[in-house]
Amino acid sequence: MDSPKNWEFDGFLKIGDSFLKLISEQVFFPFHKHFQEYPITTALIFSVFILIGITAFLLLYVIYLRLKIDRYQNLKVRKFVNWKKNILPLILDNVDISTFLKTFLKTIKKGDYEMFGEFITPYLNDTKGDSLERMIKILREIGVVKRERYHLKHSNSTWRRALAVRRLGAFKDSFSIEALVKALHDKDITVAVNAAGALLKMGDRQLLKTVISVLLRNKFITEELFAEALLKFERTLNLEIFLSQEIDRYPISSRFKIINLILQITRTESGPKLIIRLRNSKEAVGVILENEDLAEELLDEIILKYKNSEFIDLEKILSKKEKVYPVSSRIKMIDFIGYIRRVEGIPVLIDILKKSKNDEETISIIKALGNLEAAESAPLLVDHLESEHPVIRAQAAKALGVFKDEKAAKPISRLLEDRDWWCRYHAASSIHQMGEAGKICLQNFLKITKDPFAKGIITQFLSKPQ
Amino acid sequence: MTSVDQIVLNFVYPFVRFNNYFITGYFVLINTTYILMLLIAFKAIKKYSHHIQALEMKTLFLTPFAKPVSLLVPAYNEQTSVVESVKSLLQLQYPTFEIILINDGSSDNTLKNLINSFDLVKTKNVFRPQIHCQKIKGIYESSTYSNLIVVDKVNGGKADALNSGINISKYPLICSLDADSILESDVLIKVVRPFMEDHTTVAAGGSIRIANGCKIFNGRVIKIGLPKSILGKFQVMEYLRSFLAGRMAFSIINGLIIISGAFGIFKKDKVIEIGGYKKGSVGEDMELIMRLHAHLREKNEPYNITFVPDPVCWTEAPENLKVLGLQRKRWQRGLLESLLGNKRVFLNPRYGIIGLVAYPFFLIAEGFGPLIEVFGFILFFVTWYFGMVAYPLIYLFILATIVLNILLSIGSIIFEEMTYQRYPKTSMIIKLIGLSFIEVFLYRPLTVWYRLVGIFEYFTGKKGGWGKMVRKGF
Repeated sequence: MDSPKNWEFDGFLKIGDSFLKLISEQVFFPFHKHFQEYPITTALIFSVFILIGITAFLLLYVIYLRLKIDRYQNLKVRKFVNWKKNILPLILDNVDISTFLKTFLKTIKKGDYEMFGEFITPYLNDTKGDSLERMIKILREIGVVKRERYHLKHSNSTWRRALAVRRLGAFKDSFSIEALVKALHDKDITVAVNAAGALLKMGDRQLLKTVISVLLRNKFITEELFAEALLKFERTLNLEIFLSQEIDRYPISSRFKIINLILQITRTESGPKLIIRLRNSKEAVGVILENEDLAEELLDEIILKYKNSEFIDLEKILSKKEKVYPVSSRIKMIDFIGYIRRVEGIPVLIDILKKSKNDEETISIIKALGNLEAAESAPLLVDHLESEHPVIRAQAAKALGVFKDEKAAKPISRLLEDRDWWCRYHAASSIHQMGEAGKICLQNFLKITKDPFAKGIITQFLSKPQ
Repeated sequence: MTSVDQIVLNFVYPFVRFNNYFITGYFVLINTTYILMLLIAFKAIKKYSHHIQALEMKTLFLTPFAKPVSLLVPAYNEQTSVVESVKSLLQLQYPTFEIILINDGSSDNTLKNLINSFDLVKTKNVFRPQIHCQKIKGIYESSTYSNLIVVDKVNGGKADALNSGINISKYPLICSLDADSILESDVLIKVVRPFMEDHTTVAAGGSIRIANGCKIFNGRVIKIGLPKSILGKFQVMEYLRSFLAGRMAFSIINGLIIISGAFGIFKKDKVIEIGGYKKGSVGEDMELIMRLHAHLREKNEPYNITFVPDPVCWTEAPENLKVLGLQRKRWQRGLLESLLGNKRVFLNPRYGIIGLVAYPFFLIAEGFGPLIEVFGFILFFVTWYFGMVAYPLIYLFILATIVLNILLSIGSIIFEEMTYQRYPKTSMIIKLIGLSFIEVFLYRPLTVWYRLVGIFEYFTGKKGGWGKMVRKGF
């Protein structure tokens, strides 16, 4: 019988053999004979040895990595403690820059600047006023700002550019504006959104316009990222963010309500949080809140400023024809206006709602009008209860519920027997919000309806406290 | 030459030779793919960790535009761990979320423990029956936690429980969890991020890690450790390889066909569009992803199913052979069910990377891999019997298997070290690497055997269900 040991040489491996022989002659000269005799076996042996080599290298690399990371972490802890103790007080105290620089250069080596950037950034985010300006001046002096600017302009790494943009935003470095505006057009959305955030942190009105315009033209930036960037514009938004997040359902136009609520809240658990947030603003809100006697007067002033502030531009943009901004961009703005409760936007939104033929835009406007508690839009919303689109019907019912207008109960109640579950749900929920009149309306409907789905949803809401 | 010799010469030798080539080819192909996956995952993990560093996490937590999430937690006889799990979920840092715990007809004190611990009150709530599910006996709301809902329903299996959770849920994203899952507090913001950055994202999964050996207090992992048993440690290594290398690599090419049921997040409307989880399915998590891929490819709709390596869900792993066996057999049946239930995808260019790469890979390496491995083993004895063994090659083969296993394990550990460093002690890392030397001889044959039985059970029609996972609780 044939020896089975040479089974590797037959058939389809011939081409492979020739190739390997060629390689053995050219590359593995010392093993030439082995390759000639047992090419596959020798190749396999080589492969396994290469694998062993790679594995051994990776094993050493893991150990190296662990040691390196441990060392870096320990070093970081030590240095951060040291800098917190010796450097931070010097930055915050009114020590002149030359004295500071002497101590700084003694304590921090050039190789530590990257780590120092990491150390100082959170403090920059939490510091305002003179201390912040001083910190930034020092960072400029020691070249940290320049270093980040260099990375933004020249780094090929997306990550490093995104990080540089973030840090420059924290440094509020006005010399970097040009580079940051350029970064708004970066093909990586993290860099673009970070650049928008960085520019908006500087609080410049002109920059806001530029940011909005560039971000809206970038189809890869979702409305969530758009809003995330815009909310970094602290100067006028602090109050609105607060009102939207902390005080639910209070229209911005009701000044006395706001004042009373803010004054009440400052005495409750949320108070410290609010005071910290408002104090961080360049506006004088923090001061106002600390002095209750002045509160009403000054808050009035702030609200007046706010009414005339930059975000009116959003409405101007919205008024333009669709050619300028596509529907997707318009939806981003509508969502944002609804979220920050720009009451000045109501007439514009109503006007667009009358003309809009796009379902997505219609839904977005109805949501925004609900958020804005725009009671004047009620007749138009009642018309939309008849829409063919179930989401429009449901959102119209939901928005009408916010106004708590008993007159809307009857048209809404028609949706209790709607074929769409959300329409039924929002109809019942809205009527339920109308207090005693709503309850009676639901009870009456329960008596006459034969629809089991309507019965179910009404029973659910009638069992809930109002 | 006798007639027996002739048969051996004419039939047995060519047969054995051909199969030796086949096994060697399989071995080379699969391991080359694994190494390739390791390289792809390396690049992807590096990119992801950089991306996370470039984000301001503080503002992410405050973002009012974070999509609200409904956490669906099916529970069947989970009386020991259910309360701790809910406590852990209630501590999550996320702007808006609701927890829907579905008691799938448990015969133990699961519901009673929940009622007592969270002041549950039965409500008259109705829900939108968008997907068919077993009868719901009651919907409970907590008087203490406004975002906790408990659904008590007739037993129908895990998929059915999840479907009822979808019906009850009110938010646009649903997150499936196991009742014994412990999530790190910031996981939701990280796993929801892909949905905010890219609206074509329809599903995202996070990493699963083994909680055995970790110190858990008040529903939180406060000290990370390794399981005491060797079986548990093997699984730690196995999970690292599977999640950090395997899933990351497939995610990059949009070829991810598994998102673990223990921690996965989905766009609810897309899940409803395909009829929810398949009732009676054993591997409902993979089956759902397979159908999502197929459905969206058929509709030519742009979509993305992604894996996020950083958010971690800790789960209890079986530390005895019986329970491990049950789990692995169930997984194998689920895998085959998901793959063979969507046969039209196999090598079909219409399904792109799924049909041409992911599906064939999973079918060959994971679906029928155990059969091929056992066949190779039998073939070795046949070869030995007929005196055809090329011993140097056999030694080489064994050596290559060990080395490759170590290589893949070390690769995964490097990912872990480069990014998250969740195992704090160097000794833990050394132990894990050390175990990969013997894993091929102890753990691998064991899992191959269980998977083989799983294949047998699948083809003989053995029905699956929740399985009887004996949990110690945390």
